[in-house]
Amino acid sequence: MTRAASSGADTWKTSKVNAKQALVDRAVNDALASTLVVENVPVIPESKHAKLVNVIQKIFSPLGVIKYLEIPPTGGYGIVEYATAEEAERARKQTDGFQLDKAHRFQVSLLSDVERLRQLPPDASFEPPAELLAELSDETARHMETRPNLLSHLADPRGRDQFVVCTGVDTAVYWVDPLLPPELEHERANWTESDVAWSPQGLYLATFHRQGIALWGGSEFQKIVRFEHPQPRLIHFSGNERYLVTFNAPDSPEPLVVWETGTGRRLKVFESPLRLPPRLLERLWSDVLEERARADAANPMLASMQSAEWKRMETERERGMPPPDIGRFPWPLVQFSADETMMARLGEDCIHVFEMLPDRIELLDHRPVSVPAALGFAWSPTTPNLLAIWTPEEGQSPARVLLLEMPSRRELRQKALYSVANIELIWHPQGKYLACRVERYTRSRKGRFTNFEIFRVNEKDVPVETLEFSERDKVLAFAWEPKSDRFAILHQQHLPPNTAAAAAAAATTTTPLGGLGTAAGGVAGAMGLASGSTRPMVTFYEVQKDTVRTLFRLERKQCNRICWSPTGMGHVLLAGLGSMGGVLEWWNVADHELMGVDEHFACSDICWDPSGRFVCTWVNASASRIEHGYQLWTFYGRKLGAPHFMENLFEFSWRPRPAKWFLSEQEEREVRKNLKQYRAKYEAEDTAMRAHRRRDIRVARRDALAEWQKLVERNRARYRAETEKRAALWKHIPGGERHITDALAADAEGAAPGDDEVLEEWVEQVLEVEEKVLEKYLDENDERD
Amino acid sequence: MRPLLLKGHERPLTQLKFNPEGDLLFTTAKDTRPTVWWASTGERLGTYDGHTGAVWSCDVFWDSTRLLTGSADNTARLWDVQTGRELFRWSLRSSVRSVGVAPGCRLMHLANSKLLGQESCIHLFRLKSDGNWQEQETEPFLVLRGHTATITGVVWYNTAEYMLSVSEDGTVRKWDVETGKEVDRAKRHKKAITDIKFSKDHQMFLTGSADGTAVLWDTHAMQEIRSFVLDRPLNAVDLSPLMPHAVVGGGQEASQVTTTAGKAGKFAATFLHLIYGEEIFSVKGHFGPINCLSFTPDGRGFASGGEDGYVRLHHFDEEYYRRSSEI
Repeated sequence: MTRAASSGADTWKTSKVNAKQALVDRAVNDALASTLVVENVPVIPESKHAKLVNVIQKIFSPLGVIKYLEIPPTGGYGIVEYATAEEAERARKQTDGFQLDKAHRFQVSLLSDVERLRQLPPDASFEPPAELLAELSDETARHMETRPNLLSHLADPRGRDQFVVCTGVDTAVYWVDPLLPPELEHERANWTESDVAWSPQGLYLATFHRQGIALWGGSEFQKIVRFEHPQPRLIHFSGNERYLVTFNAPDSPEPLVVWETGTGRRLKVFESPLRLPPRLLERLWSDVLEERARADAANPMLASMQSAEWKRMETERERGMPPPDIGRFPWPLVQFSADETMMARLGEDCIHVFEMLPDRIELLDHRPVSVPAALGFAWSPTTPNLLAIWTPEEGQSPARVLLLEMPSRRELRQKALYSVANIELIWHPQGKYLACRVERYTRSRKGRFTNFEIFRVNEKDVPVETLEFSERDKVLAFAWEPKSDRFAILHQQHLPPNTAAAAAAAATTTTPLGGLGTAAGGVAGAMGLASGSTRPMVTFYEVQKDTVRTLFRLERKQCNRICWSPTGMGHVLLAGLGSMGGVLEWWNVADHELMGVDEHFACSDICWDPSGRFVCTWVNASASRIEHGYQLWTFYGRKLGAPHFMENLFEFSWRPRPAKWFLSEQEEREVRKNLKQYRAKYEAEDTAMRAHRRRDIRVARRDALAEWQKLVERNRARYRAETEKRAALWKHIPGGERHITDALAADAEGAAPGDDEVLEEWVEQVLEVEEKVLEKYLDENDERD
Repeated sequence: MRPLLLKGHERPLTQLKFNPEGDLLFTTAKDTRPTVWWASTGERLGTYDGHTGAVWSCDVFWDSTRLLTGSADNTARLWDVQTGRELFRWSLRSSVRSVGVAPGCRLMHLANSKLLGQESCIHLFRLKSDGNWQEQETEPFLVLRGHTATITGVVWYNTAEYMLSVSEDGTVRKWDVETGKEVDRAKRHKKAITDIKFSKDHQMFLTGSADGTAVLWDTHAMQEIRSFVLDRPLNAVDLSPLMPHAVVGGGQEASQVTTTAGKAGKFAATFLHLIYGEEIFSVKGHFGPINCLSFTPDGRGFASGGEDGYVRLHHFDEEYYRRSSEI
């Protein structure tokens, strides 16, 4: 009996006055409880009505004795009455959600429920029954017991951040403090079999194993969940880490699986073998073939040796598989919208957008979003369900960039672009803007040039700004600054070959020592860049109210990476990684000021910590054979302690901070404004710690010295004890006597180390106290002792 | 601290040896000519010509009259320091990696490489130091066997009762000279040990290894007193006779260095403070790995020899003593 029916029975008990009326009520209630309303029945023409009734009868009759069946041909619904309420309830459970065909999925409910809901006042609010609440809280309690507190690392009294490093088989997590050397938090050998990754909010550390992925968290890094997926190679979390996608190989039985992170529940398994849209495959393979052609031309010997390998790749290609190199795999294949209610995957001439429902994943409106020739898409990182899509040029139709609002599929903006080779969609980290890097052909279609289309997503009608670079001005990199309106572009001037040669000749004849600071051409020649390109330059821009303004340009920089601090205060690290020698420059773009210059030889990667206080430069073992290790710096380029050398270091990553537990951008600005009132407290803390540390060092040194003196005394005694033996060796040799006691003589000279250091004294005296507020670098005093 | 640059060798240096007075510096290199220099001026005095292979090692007698050298031509030779005349020649079955004269000058050792099917072992000879130098025994009176890889260094304890050897097998072994038995053994380094040096009183010794660590040991207990982790493979170490300092050097192997930048391979000599376990400072200059290091006998300077074929001879200035006392 359902709840509705029993309440009906109560009514009957109380109304003793009219027994007959009660009997009628009861019969009606019974009828209501044993009748089902079926929604989403196809609407069909009269001619097919009999057939439909037949089909529906077939579905419902095996589940009980049907007393009455009514399907109005144009209503899109049906009514089925069973003999008993039990049969009806059972049939409801089995048929609710039944997929009749692609577009029609039954939604079945009891008529009594419909009636009960109908009688509720329109403003009634839902109150969960007490027993359900109790059960839930039990569940929560159990959950709390078995699960560690995943946020425990945020309760660190000094507000420190963590990072993970992997070297060979060892994986370790460290704390970083501005005053102390990194402190080991947790270390495990063979923690992972290939790689590790933090989840985007930093609650979990994911490790890769032969059997699948494991997530670890809490103060002890306990195992939280496992995802069984053999030989996983790539993973992708949704933004708030509610979902996880894992991928192993395109032709495995389960290539791509979507999971619920918290529970480890398998939500969706995609088709096997994995099918990629033909346009995407073609593009991936054409890159591979282009590279092959180049390699073959450069080294025909090697090419002939690798022909078997190429043949194997050719068959892969014919099978419709992506290139085997995992670095080229178009990852993530599945992307989640900002609010995690939807996920999308590229299809052929369409985007498959799925709705993440509580109990299942379903294609939105049962049909894909049709976008002819779609080749790439990206969800806005903040605006819920805003999808950017691009399509290449095909036949007469131009390339396009679309902004679609989901689930309405409303097109917010469309921009057509001509002579397009490629487009890259780059969302601003806070979703304010969408930058499209458009690679275009010149009119002759021989050369290429780049322009940027910047969509102001949050403004009415989404205005688009265009930034164009000429064919000679090659764009190397683009980077948005988080939490601000600035961005930076790394580009390089290419001179036509004859000009370059002339310039080089001029440079060698007139300024043989390298005319640094002369015209660009001269420098190019002097630097020996025969290809005719100057050193790269970095230009900073800001998206302003009605224009994109150039802030300033830094010319002739040894730079191949732009890395913005996450604070949004304009701090940026320009780095010449790898073969550029590891030259580092810290700039404050807001003030057009060079904050620091240094070098980390051979460094191959850089990353800012999530607070923007520190930046790490490290040498990846896969990029360099020597100097593996990392160096920590302050945000303005001062070394935080000595470099840490770690052989075979292959992973360094900062633990992300969960966005929702921290201050919003607004609040952060507020704090920054009133920094003075917070400052005193932290400074006092730091001073105390520094003093403490100095004392510790002093004590340690005193102990070491005392111990050493004991050792020296003992050694001297031993040496003296063997004087006889040495005398026996040397006494007959003319001039050999001095070897008998030579070590003692040295000590007696007074230059002996021990004698000096006994007098070692530590004097600390405050000479003068000066207070000075250094506006710019509030961490100026953060140095390690 | 402007160094004297001693240029005379055409191949990488293999060993440096000051005579006890510290006025002469003997150097050996992979070219075939051991060389002697005035330590005070860096002037070349002469060479000892005769070897037909790389010279690995040398030792000078207590009175600076004789020089013993060992070479990859499978011979060890005894030279008259003053005239450069070859006095005697010993032959082994593989290249001679280490030579040394025992305190008291009645014994000497030669250690050979594990090569040509030969086991790496230490050969002990008696030295006839009185009368005719040209009549030495050609056969060893004792052979010390045990190392499983090439012996890279052998040092005599100051009573000549035992000796210590280090090897590419990563072990330090203590040998009794009377019986020829291995009496103690220690393994601490993960890779080949490349150098061993005694402190002045021989109560401690320092070893350096290709795994980038340097370890200070107690001679009697054969136990670690202190260890240092460096950022590069070490080829050479030495202990200061004057200060509680050590100098270590090495660098990335030539095959691993990707660029020509001097700092790329970390070819500096690094000074370590034995008491506090800290690096004090580094001296740059070589453009190849450092292969050998030696303090002057008075501890007021040091010499380094590199893969680049140069010897750099440094005399400490006042700042060295000042900084050292500040620490």
